[in-house]
Amino acid sequence: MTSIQIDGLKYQYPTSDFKLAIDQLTITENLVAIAGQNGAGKSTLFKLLTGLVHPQAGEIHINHRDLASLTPEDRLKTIGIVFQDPSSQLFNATVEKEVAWSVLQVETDAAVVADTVNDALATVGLTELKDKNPFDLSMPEKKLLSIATVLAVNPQIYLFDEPMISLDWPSQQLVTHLMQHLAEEKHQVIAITHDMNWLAATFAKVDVLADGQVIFEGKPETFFGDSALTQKTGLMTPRIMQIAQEVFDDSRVYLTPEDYFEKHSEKR
Amino acid sequence: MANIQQISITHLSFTYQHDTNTVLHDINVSAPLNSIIGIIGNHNAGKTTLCRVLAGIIPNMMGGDLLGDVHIGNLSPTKDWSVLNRQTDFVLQDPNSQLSGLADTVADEIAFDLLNHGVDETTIQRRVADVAAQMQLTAQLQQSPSSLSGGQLQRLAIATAIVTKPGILILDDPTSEMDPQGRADFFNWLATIKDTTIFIVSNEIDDLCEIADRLWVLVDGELVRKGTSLEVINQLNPEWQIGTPKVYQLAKLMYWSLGADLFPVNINQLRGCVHDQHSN
Amino acid sequence: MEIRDNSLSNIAKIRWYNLIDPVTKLLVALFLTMLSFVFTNLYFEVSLVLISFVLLLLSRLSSATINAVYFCLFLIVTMILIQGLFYSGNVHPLFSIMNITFYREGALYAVTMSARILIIIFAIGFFMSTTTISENAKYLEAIGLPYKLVYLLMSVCYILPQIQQNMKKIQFAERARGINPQKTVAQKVRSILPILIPLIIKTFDQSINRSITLQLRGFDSPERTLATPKYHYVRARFNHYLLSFLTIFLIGCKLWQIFSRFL
Ligand SMILES: Nc1ncnc2c1ncn2[C@@H]1O[C@H](COP(=O)(O)OP(=O)(O)OP(=O)(O)O)[C@@H](O)[C@H]1O
Ligand SMILES: [Mg+2]
Repeated sequence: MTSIQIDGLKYQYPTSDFKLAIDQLTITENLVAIAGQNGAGKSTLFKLLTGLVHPQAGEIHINHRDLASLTPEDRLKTIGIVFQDPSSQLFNATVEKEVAWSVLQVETDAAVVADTVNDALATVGLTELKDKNPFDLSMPEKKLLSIATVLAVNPQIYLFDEPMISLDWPSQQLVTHLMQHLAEEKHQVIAITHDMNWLAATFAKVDVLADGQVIFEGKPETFFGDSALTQKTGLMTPRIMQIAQEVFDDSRVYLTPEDYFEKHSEKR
Repeated sequence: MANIQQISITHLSFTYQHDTNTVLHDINVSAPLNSIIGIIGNHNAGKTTLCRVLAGIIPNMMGGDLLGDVHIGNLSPTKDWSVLNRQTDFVLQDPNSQLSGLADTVADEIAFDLLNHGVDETTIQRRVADVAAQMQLTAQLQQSPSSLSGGQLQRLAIATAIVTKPGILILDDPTSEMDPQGRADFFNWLATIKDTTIFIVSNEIDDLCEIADRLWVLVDGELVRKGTSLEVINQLNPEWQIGTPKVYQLAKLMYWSLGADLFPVNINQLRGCVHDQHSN
Repeated sequence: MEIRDNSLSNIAKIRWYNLIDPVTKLLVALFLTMLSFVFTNLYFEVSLVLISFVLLLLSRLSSATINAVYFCLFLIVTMILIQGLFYSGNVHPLFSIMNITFYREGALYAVTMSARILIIIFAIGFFMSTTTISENAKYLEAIGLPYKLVYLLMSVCYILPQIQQNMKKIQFAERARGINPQKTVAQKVRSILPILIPLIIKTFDQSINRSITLQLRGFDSPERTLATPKYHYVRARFNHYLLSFLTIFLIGCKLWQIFSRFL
């Protein structure tokens, strides 16, 4: 079972006033969402969790080991990140080489590398584009490709920074199923998202950030049930709750239309 | 002769240079000026390409095989590009590409378009401050554009486009990285602006159904459906795999219909329909 | 310039070099270069190197400048070696190691040349690290260059910084995705080689996108308002005249030196 433990974490960029300060945060669940307004510090938190930037104070423990003490190989196999902007994650000449580059960090056997690359590309449905230049892909294809590069390494913990950006409906389904599948296979999957409908339908745990601080940890139902809190953090309730509120003046918590349907058909 | 009050696209087909497959196939559609047109479709359906044609990027700056005719009012992006370009603003799908690269601060980046339009300095000050406040970028005005968070960068991209109050606004997936409140505010604002023709590509089908006057559905480069959101959403073919709004999903589950197997797609319609059912 | 510039002082303190306009800086660079070509006295050259080096140290040192300097030092060492051994005017041996003689004339010649290279690099480095793209662009526009030309100049001058920025992004991605055994030079080179072509393609792609964006945003519109320069420069016009005059004078001297040999 994986766990992330953050204590007294402080971070500030040299060129902005923004301050991230997390006293204590423990993440042990398999499928966790992180939400918060633009500029709340979500991506910064992910950079800290992968050791890409170093905190000015505080500690991060992953599986009870200090993040700073992990060897690069260990770190790579422990925690992998999909960037918010896929263009800044990609730098190879072809789609296939892009994934192979990642695999080669942890694997040397050429046959294994080739298989892993093919599997990863097939999983995200990019096999046909394997000879294309990553920069010629569309935004959603780039996003899927950057997901494939992390899948190919298969770390214990996956960090997805806004995985749904500009994905169409079928790709959203694909990525959701992929994340659920990973979580079932005892990986830890943490995703940043602004899509409250998706969050409500998919996650059992959510951490909410506001102005660099953790404001809420717990179940989405609890969060959405507290309308003052939802307001304060600049987030919104899922669409189904807005519908219920506006049309029926019903402010109870519903996560999906199906949820509404079930709750209302019982009564009849 | 082109109708002055219409957007009209006739027999539009397009193939990119050095490429064989046709990206847009014989598109025919028209809509009144100053309306909001939502463009939906899956990956590679041709949404961005259609935006490029509407903005005149194709064929003025990107080459290819363009057939057919496009008119926005009495102007054609092909023939009257420089006149049209002065009234048009475009928010690109990738906010990084929207930056001029010639500005050190967010404030300068927003001011760039106003300078280009020959606006005087005091007006620039005011407009920049207003738009920054609207897009919640006031605290970031002195930051460098390259140090913004993803969502802030997207807000900046929108700010640079709306700051000149264009008559035609082309938005390619403008809110994908914005937080829920910011997205809602932006869509609500779109619904309030007048005398502007808005083309908006988005995956936010719920918001589109609330504000769009027309929806155009692209599937593999073909315009397969066009009309009001009510018509279009009720006639989607499941094979196209296009997401539906939550109102519609709920109404189908609860069987709240507007009659004749027609289900509401936005809150107003749902309200009307539930009201009718109660009175029956 | 309220929201756009007043609060600037909170973010970046105004330094002495912000008071000098970009064209003066460029002219200073040109002037120093010409000085080093006209006067060949070694001590004079060395003091010029020192002066330009101090200029550079007083400005904000960027890693780009440091890299450029490293690269030049490497060139200089090879040049001194080769000229010291094979320069055509070599007469007086300086020292010899195992039958290989190193000559004075070659070494001197090479040292003079290197001094000039260093002066150019330091002076240009000073210019590049103290002015930003937008400062340059605004100033050039304000002194009357058409904006289109300004943009062209800027995109040529800043292609290297652009590549460097992309390189940084890629290295960030490599750190996120890889184990980075880049300790030795060989490993570093090996990690850069395969990404070289994608890097150039990416930069090229960005410039094309940029030019489309700028056209969409109407940068070449005839009604454009002049941008107001960012800082108040001290005696810009006077500096230009003085430095231009001095530089032209030096060019004259150099030409005279060359022609007088034929007379
Ligand atoms: N490289 C940087 N240099 C300086 N400031 C930065 C940098 N990156 C981010 N910031 C600032 O830090 C704050 C937090 O940024 P971060 O990217 O973590 O936000 P986020 O929660 O991921 O937002 P979004 O939802 O928009 O992606 C923002 O105010 C941003 O302007
Ligand atoms: Mg982010």
